This record gives sequence, C-alpha cells and structure tokens, in this order.
Amino acid sequence: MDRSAIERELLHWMRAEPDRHDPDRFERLALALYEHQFENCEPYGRFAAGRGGRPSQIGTWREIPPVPTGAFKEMPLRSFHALATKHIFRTSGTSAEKRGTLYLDTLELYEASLLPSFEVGVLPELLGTRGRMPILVLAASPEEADDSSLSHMFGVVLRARGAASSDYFVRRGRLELASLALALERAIAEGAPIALCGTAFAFVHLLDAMTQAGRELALPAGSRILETGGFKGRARELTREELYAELHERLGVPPEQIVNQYGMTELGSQFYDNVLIQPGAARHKLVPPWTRVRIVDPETGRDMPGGEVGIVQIVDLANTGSVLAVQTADLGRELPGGFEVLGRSPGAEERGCSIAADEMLGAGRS
Amino acid sequence: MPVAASAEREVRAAAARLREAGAALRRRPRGEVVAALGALLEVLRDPASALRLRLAAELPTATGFAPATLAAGLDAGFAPWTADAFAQLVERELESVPGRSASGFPLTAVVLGGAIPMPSVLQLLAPLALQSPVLVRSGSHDPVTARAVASELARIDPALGRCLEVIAFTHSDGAALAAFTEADCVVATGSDDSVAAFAARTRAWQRFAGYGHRFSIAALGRDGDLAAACSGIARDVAFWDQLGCLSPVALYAVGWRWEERAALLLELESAFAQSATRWPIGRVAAADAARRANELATFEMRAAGGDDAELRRDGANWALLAERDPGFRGSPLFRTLRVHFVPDASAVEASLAPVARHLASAGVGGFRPAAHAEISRQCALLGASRCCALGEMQSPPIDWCHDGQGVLLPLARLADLAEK
Repeated sequence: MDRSAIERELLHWMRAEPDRHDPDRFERLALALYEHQFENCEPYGRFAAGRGGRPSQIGTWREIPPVPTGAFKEMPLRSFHALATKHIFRTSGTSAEKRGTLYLDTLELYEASLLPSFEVGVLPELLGTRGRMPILVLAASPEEADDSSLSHMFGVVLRARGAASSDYFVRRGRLELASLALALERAIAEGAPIALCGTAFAFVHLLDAMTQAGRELALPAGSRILETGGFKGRARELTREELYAELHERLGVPPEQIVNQYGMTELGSQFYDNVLIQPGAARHKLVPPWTRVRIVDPETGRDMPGGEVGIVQIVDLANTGSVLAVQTADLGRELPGGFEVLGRSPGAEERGCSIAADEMLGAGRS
Repeated sequence: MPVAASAEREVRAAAARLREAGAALRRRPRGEVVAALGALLEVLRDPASALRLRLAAELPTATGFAPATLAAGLDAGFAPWTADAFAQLVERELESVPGRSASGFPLTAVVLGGAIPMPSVLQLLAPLALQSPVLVRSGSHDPVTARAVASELARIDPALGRCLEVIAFTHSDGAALAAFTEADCVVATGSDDSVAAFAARTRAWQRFAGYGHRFSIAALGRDGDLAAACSGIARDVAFWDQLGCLSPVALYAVGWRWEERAALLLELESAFAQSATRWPIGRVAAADAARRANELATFEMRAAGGDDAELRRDGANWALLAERDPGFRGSPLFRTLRVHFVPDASAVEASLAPVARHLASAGVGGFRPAAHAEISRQCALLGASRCCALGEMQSPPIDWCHDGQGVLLPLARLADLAEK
C-alpha cells in the first residue's frame, strides 16, 4: 500500500466517517504507513532498525518505535524528498534556541484531521450542520505567523466554521486588548454564544488586564473557551483550576464550558477535552479515531497499568509525511474514554540545585 | 474546595520569638557562638553521631536518594567542614579588615530548596555566625535536615537553639509568604524563577541573597592516570545523582580526538558501572524520567544517523553521551554525562560562553601544571567560583566562595569604625 493510497483512505475516514472508531482499519493503515516511513525517512528508519523495529518485525501499531519530540529539533524528519516541502511549522522559541520543525508536502490531510476534532471538542452543536459561530482568537493570524501550527489550525477553523465577526486579536506579538474588548462587548450585546480561543498565556494576559481595569464581563450563555499550551516564561503561572476559576469570574464562562486542547507542532491531530460533547462526564481528552495514545513507563516503554502515570506516546495517522509515532516528554494517565495530561504544579520545587538542559535552553509549541 | 488555613500567624509568632532571642544572641561573644556552631559541624562530620544516624535513616525516604549514595555524599560533603575551618571562615570573611565591624540582621529568613543537605546546613549556620536569628522555611523535598540540625543545635547550646526555628508552609500560602519575607534579610535558594519571585517580594531596605540553579563541568586532559580520573568523574556524577550544582553535566575531553573516543568511553563506562554498584541511583520522579527518556531517545536518533554521536548507557543507571560537536547541550541529569571531544582549552571556553552565567564549578584533571592552571583560569573567567581536582567536586571547603560571593558576607552588615 503506497502513501497516496493510505492518504486517500485516511481522507475518506476523516471527512466522511470522522466519528467511526475502526481498530482493524487503524491497525492496517498504521502498519502500512510505518513501512512507508521506515523506508523513506532515513533517520527514522535507522533509529527504528536499531530498536529492532524493521517492518517485518512489527506485528501491531503498539510496536512501532516512537520518535521523541526532541528529535524534531535535531534533524528533518520527512518521508518525502526535501524539494517537495510545501509548508513548515516550527515550535515556539527564540532565534537562539533550536526549534522543533514539522515538514509537510501537503496540507490536505493535516487540515482534514484538525477540523473534525475541533468541531467535536469545541463546536459540538454544529456537528451535522453548516452552522457557524463567532470565533475570537487570542493568537496571531496564519498570515502573520505562517510557521505556527496553532495559527494555521485557527485559520482552517475560521474558514470552515467562523461567523463573519470572527477575528484574530494578537498582532505583532501583542494582544490587542482594545479591539478584543469591543468584540466581546458586541458579542454580549448580540447575545449569541461565541468561542473564545487562544493560548493559555494569552488568556492570563487578558485576565491581568481585566483585573487591572476592574472589569468583569458575562459572555452570552453557551459561550465557550478553548485554551491550549502552557505559561512558562510568558505569563504568571497558575494551575488549570485557577485559570478556569479566573476565566469564570472575569468572563462568565463556567469551567464546564472551558476546553483544553492538547496539541503540538509535531502532530497533525489534536486532543480536546470532552466537556462540551459529553456534559456531566468526568473531564478527559478525546482520542480521534485515527490516533492512538499510549501511557508508558519512561524507562521500559511498556504500557502503564490503567490509571497510572507515565509518559504520553501518540500514534497519529495524520502524520503521513513525517513520522506517525511520537513520544512526548509529557506525563499523563489513561482514563475511561480517553486520557489526561498532567501539568507541572506552578511553584513546584526541584530536588536539586543543578540546572537541567531544557531550563537553560528552552522549549515550546507555536 | 476547602481552603487550607494560612500559616501566617505561626510565621509571625516565630519571627517575634526569634527577634527576642536575637537580642540575647547579639550580646554573646561571637567566638562562643562560632564554637557552638563548630561543635555542631563536628557532630555532622561523625557518621556515628545521633544526628548523622537520623539523617541516614530519614533522608533516603524523604529525598529519594539511595541510602549508600546518601551516606557517601554526606561523608564527602561534611569531611572538610571542620570546626577549625568554620572558625577560619568567620575570621577571614568577618574579622580580617582592621576597624571593620560585621554583624547580622535582626532577623534572617531562609528559604531552603532541594534535597541536598549540605547547602541547607550552611544556610542555617551562616546567619547564626553573624549573630542573626534564623527563620527557616524547609523545602518540600527535604523536611528532615533543618529540623534535625535545629534539634542538635538546641542540645549543644540551648540559647543558640532558640535562635533557629523551622517552619513549613505551602508555596500558595501568600499571607504566610508575605509575613516570612518581612525579615530584614531574606535568603532564597531555588530555580531562577523562584529566586526572582522571592526577590520581587523584598523591598530596597531589605537584604536579599539569592542562589539560583547552576551547573558544573569537568575537563580532562591526556596526562596522568586515566582510570583514576574517570573514577573521579564517575564519583562526582554519582553523588546526589547529579542533581547538585557541583556535579558535572558535561565532560570536555581536551586534546582527545573523536576517533580516539573508544578508549576514553571504555574507561568511563567501567568507572560509571563501578560507581553505580557502589552508590546506586535513587528514586527518579516521573517527570524527570520522562524528560530523561526523551533526551536519551533523541540522542539515540542522532547516534543512529551518523558518526557524530555515540551513546553508552546502562538502563536508568547512567548514560554517557559522546559528542563530536563541542557545542554545550547540558544534561537531563540523573547520571547523564555528555562527553565533548575538543582540541584545546579555547574550545571549552567557546562551548561554555553562551551558558557561562550558570556555571558553578569545574573539575579539572589530566593536564600538565601549566595547562591545568590555564584551563582553571579560563573557567574562573567564565564565572566558575571553584575549580578543583576530579573526584573532589562534591567536597567543597566550607569557605568556598559560593557563586563568587563568599559565605557570610552576603548576609552581613558591614561598618567601618574609625578609631578617632
């Protein structure tokens, strides 16, 4: 099965049957894609062979050797010729830092993957309709940040589902508070729900500005917030519970209407909290049918028993042009129906006084 | 959600008691106080003392270090900290300038961080040597050392013991933190972010001394006993599981060609294997294990991709990351040593320059005297506040000029007293 056949089948899956969980199809496509990447992505092939992972030795998607996210900073991981590169996404960071890079020779699958997951996680009431909603984005537009996977995602979402009043409110790296305030006031006056989306640190900047101005708003009933990413070095740090409590207090959006997205530049697919599509259920991340999430022991790579903490490994069939199996440095645990990602507590102490490499040299998603 | 009661009242009460005890402390001859603190250090140096036995019994569970490794680390760390050495430190830093008076503040608040006992002990003793009472917030990773030391001090010198109180409260207890940082002198240890957060809480009239996280390196030449040098490096890495700022995170093999790496790696492997047996690695938290696993797997990919990197490891016990490229990359710690093959000392300097502001110390070995002096001088110019022999990195003298500041002086009020 060649890559174009794999992509055709995936596109059909994502567009026509995005909610269909089909373990057999996943297994078949994962193994075929792995074989393709083993042969065509040289550094991955060598690494996988070294781990005893030749395609002939692999019987299930669980055995596909995962690439650490750090490797995206070190070498181009492409399963196609470099000259065919159409788009590049990079993780956030300064010019002095190494940034993770995802090379793409097509955006079709990338975009086909992100949209249904976003709809399920953030706009579930629009599923099966052609409806739109005002989507206000606390991030730069894709035109301004063309190497940001997050901005690109919002661009696709706004084109497909954004009402006319949808807009971006980060320009030249700054949150445009005045125009955002006007847009929020207009939404309140109109009384129709909106989706307010952005990075967690942008929300902290918004909250700080509202606190300083002594402002509180009550967004229309049914409004929801999507937040993603961390705070480190970009805003004051707080727990998700604290962030959600402040968002509730300042914007009138209750925690059960606030969705966290777990995504990274290195992946084509994203993972959303279930709070809107499964109201009342315990919060967890939903797993799109064309992805699998494993929680593994960092030392042995073996699956952790259900509910125990380990590192998050993801197999994402949307990553046809790079590598489908990715090992993150994030901790998580399996939950019924999905998984959760565990963040580091703000203020948590280190055990030693030596500075670890990533503290000195930086990390992040853009 | 229930809100935990603030420890503010407890902090304020302790501060008031300490200020009162401080008045009596300042009336005592300094020599008497220094002698009592020296006696305490001698107890800490004695592995058979009740205090050391308590640390040996309680710290492994509290801190995660393996018992044998912890015991060896305490032996190595406290060995040079004699009562005489402490008295000399006091004399040198506080009494060596004629006509200059050095005293402590009415109250010093010390925020301890991390799980390594030695810096905690020194931070308790330093203000007391200046006759300043000390309010200590113990760290979450070591709730044992400060309390054990306080108990022992109270036994040795009850009046001095009343000048040291240990308190614990959470990072989120803003009221307690505010009361705590009202002390005249505040000392904080931790990540750069947390030190900056404490600094932001203090006002211009307060003294603030911050000790951020740092790293050390080792430099190895081609002269001398290679096996002994590698044993020393393995020991420096093994103690405190490389979490202390005095453990090397990178080894620069100076004058070694990349093509010669097999001989050096073989010797290092042997030394690391022996040290792992003698001083086993302790508990590794899930987040640290995740970070280390990601880093090692990334390195494994680089190694698989060419001839510029080579990985030697023994599971989670240790790892050697041989790099052809001299560029500094740091380490995910937990006995992960990056080995850079560089042509000369200037390559070491160039490699460290971008991160030199975090450099704490350098272990140096395998050089002829002139080259040894030159590489030590370069490390000092980059910012290292200590250069020492390989294998001795974890045994700094008590008067080591920590962060280039001295031990007592950052906490002292100096006054020049003219005779007429």
